[in-house]
Amino acid sequence: MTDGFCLCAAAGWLDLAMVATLCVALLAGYPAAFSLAGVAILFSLIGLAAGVFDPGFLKPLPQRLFGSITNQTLIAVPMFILMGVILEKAKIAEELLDEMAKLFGSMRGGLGFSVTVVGALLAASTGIVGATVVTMGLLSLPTMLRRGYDPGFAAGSIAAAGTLGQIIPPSIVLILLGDVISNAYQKAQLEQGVFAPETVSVGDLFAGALIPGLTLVALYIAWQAWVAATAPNKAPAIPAEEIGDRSEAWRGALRTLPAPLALIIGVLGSILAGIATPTEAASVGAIGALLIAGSRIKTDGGAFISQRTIVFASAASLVLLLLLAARADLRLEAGAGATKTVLIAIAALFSVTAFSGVAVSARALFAGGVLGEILDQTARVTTMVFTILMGAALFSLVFRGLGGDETVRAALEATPGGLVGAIAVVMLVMFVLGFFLDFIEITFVVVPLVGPPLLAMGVDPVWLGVMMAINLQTSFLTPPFGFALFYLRGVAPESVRTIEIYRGVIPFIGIQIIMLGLLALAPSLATWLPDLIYG
Amino acid sequence: MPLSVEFIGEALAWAVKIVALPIIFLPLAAMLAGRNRPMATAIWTSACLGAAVLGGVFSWLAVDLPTPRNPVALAGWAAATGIITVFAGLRFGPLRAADQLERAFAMLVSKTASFIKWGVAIMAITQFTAVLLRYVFSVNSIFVQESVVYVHGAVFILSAGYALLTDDHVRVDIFYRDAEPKRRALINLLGAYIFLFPFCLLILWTSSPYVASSWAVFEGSTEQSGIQGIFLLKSLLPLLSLGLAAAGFVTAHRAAGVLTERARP
Repeated sequence: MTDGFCLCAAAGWLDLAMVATLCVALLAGYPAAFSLAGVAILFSLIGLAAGVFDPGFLKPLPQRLFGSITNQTLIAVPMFILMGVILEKAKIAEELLDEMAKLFGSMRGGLGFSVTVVGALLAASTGIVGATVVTMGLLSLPTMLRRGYDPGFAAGSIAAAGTLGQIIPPSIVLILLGDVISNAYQKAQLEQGVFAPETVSVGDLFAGALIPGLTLVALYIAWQAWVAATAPNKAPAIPAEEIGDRSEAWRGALRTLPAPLALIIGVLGSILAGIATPTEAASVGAIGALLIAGSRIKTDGGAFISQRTIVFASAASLVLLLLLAARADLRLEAGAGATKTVLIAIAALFSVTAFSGVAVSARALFAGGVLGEILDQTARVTTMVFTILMGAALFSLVFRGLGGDETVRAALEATPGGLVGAIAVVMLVMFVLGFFLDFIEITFVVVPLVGPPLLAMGVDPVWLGVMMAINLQTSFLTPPFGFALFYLRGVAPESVRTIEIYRGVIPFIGIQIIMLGLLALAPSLATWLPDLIYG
Repeated sequence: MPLSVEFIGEALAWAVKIVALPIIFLPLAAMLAGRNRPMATAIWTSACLGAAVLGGVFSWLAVDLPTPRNPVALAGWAAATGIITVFAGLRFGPLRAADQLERAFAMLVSKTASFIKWGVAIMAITQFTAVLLRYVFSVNSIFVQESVVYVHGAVFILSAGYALLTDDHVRVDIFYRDAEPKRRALINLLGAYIFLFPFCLLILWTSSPYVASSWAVFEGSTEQSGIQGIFLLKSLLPLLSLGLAAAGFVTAHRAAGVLTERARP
């Protein structure tokens, strides 16, 4: 034994020490991806010195890292990010908020409703930290305050609506969670000797999150309506004469709303219906967002055919293309009949039109100087997500090498109260971790650890994923550490006191807890839809 | 021996040992001794040699690690490191060298990223094309499908370092947010040396044999009609390491500059 000294006694505790060190390291504030990796390396060295870490555990590292490049499911992530960034940079999110406010503003609490609805609609773009909270905090909060909304109520509505996007499909968070849960589920079944394991897909999780997510939207709006009804001074209506013509508001809403709505429903629908993979749907979403942006952005006039015409023609030909493909057999093959050749030629023409719209929109964004910015931001957010994935992969390998998996499993199995107790503990731990860590880190580090034992105990994977998502969303709302509150504080005017923000979110936290309770009592809220769709 | 994969691998390993490793320690030496060229050089050389010796001793002590057995190679490494650092240190001065490398690396990292970001557009359009081909014309092209993976991998790997420069990697910023600039600089400097650089070295060290064996057979797709370039895709891993290390160098040197209140050129 070359180890000796005191290291032997400590060796059994290395996995726990590793987690403790990680917490300290993360709090210091160095980027999480590298803190994860660095702490792992540090503890692999300590483990090596103590003779309790087999370097063979690091063998799979390159394969794991490479796996994060080739992971088919996760390729949807950059494309959903792209879609979100386009919607944001082309000011479509802003316009939506504006038009909705005009439409609902004359109602008591109307600005609150519009914030909730837009927050839910922008789900796809907001999986990544606080983007919506910031956007809405900058746009809606000043308006709401000017219109005499209670600062706490306004801030609470915005913080809650901003996190809502995380659990309403198609959010990036659910894609990441879906991928991790799917792996955990496979692992749990393999360890139980099930060699033809059932699978759970991102589509399952999307379907599972839909009803709870929409229920949350309904509950939020119900609460806002209740406040508006019982305390009109907290959420006053905008006087009709200031809002201008009603029909004008409707026309504005009809101009802005349908395209993003159709896009989101199309993307989500095609995934839920099992027609398209998330990656395919995401690429359509990104291209669709580009077309919407192209139809909004003004460029130099005087062109032979206006940009807007081409974009509309492009969108129309995409729809026609889909209809055509659903009706006729367009398979490319030799020896096709005359009718088929004509149909294929028409389809090809539609395709060309579609692409010309894409090109024109891209050119418009480029001329407006935002295209580069959009691509730049997409690349940066994407690399951030995947770097954490890589850091977490290393962390998990070393943690496993130090016996951490066994420790977690033993701890969960020894929890009093059996399965319910274990789930409660996991949820509580994740809730607390949510104060410090982002969704991405928790998904990549914690879920692979606690997932397999819980799933092996017979928990439904979709239900577990949805519970985790709502739980974390709640955590992000909870003072004093909730992420959403920090982002909101950062953009809220000084006149809004922090304590008012805290007070304002408490009812929404209550709603979240009610939702978690409902879900715990009636798991079918999450499992019914996926069962219905996928059988 | 002609230019075999083994030979290239060995040469690259040496390049890392005697060039990349010393470069990593440059900001540290520059920070500790500033414009005092001989002093800075001494610190630099001893830091490099010290790290090598520590590594050697550690792998000798740790029972589970292979002990380095080739004394000639070890001596060669030490000698080369010593000669290079002493010569370069005295000739250029660690501070000036670090300044210039910082600029070069920052330029390299951001130029790469501003080039590769167009991959995002290419990826989206390619995937969209694949969707049209599949759903309208019932054409499933593995080549097109795989090319999306290639572009995606290239985009996020080659912009990882850039995101470090733009501070886009998520931090747990409960305390960091309100910290003084000097405290932040200290965290960034320590983080680079304790977390980031070891990660880069580990990626490089573990992925080298993995990538080399892929190059040795010019590994291609498992699909006949796929892209026969898995070896290129795998090569992204060492590039990730180098890109992150270059960006880490920039952040470390800038942090050191804040800590020593050096006048920025």
